[in-house]
Amino acid sequence: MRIAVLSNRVGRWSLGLVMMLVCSAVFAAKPVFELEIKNHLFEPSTLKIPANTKIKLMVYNRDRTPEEFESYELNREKVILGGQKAVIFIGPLEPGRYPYFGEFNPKTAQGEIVAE
Amino acid sequence: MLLNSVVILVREVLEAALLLSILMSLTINTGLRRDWWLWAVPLGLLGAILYAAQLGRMAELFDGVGQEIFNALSQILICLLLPAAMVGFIHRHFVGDAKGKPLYLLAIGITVLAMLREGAEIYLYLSAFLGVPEWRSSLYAGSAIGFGLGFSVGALFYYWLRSFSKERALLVMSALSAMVAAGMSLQACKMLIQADWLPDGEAWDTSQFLAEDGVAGQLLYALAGYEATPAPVQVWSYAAVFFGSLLIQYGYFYRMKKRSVAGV
Repeated sequence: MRIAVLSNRVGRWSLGLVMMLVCSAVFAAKPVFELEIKNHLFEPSTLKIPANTKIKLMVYNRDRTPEEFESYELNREKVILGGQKAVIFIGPLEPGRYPYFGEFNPKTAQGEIVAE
Repeated sequence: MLLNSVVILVREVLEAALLLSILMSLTINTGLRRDWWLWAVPLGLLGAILYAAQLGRMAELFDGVGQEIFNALSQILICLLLPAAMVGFIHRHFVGDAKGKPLYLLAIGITVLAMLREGAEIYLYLSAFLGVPEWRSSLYAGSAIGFGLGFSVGALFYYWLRSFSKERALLVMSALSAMVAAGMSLQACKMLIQADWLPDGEAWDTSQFLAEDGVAGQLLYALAGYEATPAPVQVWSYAAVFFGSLLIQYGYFYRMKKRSVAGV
């Protein structure tokens, strides 16, 4: 009897938890933006995103060499191997310009994110 | 390419070099040998190469934020192991015949963890661009200069630490290791924010006073985890780890000191 009550309770809790996770997954659908790395250049080099919104940035490295997406203003750094894609969450940002660069090729790989 | 490889090497080597010099002076100060680094550094290099080799696979885990999660995990481990090691060294300072083996293992473990991420980055960078013949010589020269600079700062730091009396050195290094541990927690939070596991924000902006990409900013970043625009959660975790480990270390130090004075 006790076990039945307990398992019932556990069942109810886990159902609640699953529902919460599903809900958060549905509501957490963030706008997705894409960047490409080609010949050690970012494309587009200026990316406009909405201000005060968390976005999901997908960076596709089309080069064979790795690159590190880095930005002091955004507080972000992530190594992206050659031919791979990376997910980087950004924001919510105040309106403004946020430069970023590729640490492995900082002379050419430069760009900025404009939040407006 | 030359300047860039200098910058990359310095940035990545500096952090591990500072940590290594703290740990090495701790082992010597407490009557242990310092040759454990002969194990720690090769193991760290090996770990870094393995880490780099697995990075592609790791990156895909956790919906594409695996890299952040594993980086954060290694930083959180350092955060926990460093105060533990510090307490162990304080213990050994007062109880001279305490076992040295756990301390060697802790020192090696922390060094390897510190070398993993940064070493992997250097390895990926060098292995990718050494293949380009016209860049090769500037890469070699730049890496040598960068490594040399990072190593020299570490060595200077080591001799500075060795210049204190034993007890004062323990107190100084307790404060320093609390700073390093707090810096690690700040970086771990940065990774978890990037992975969207923690909320982002901006507590303040000191980039006008001390830019993160300047020389002073880089040094302070390596030693104390300086960031010009930290998120509130980073500031809180920094404060919690810094004061928490300081309290534990200093608390233990003065308790042991009191006991040793009473014993005499």
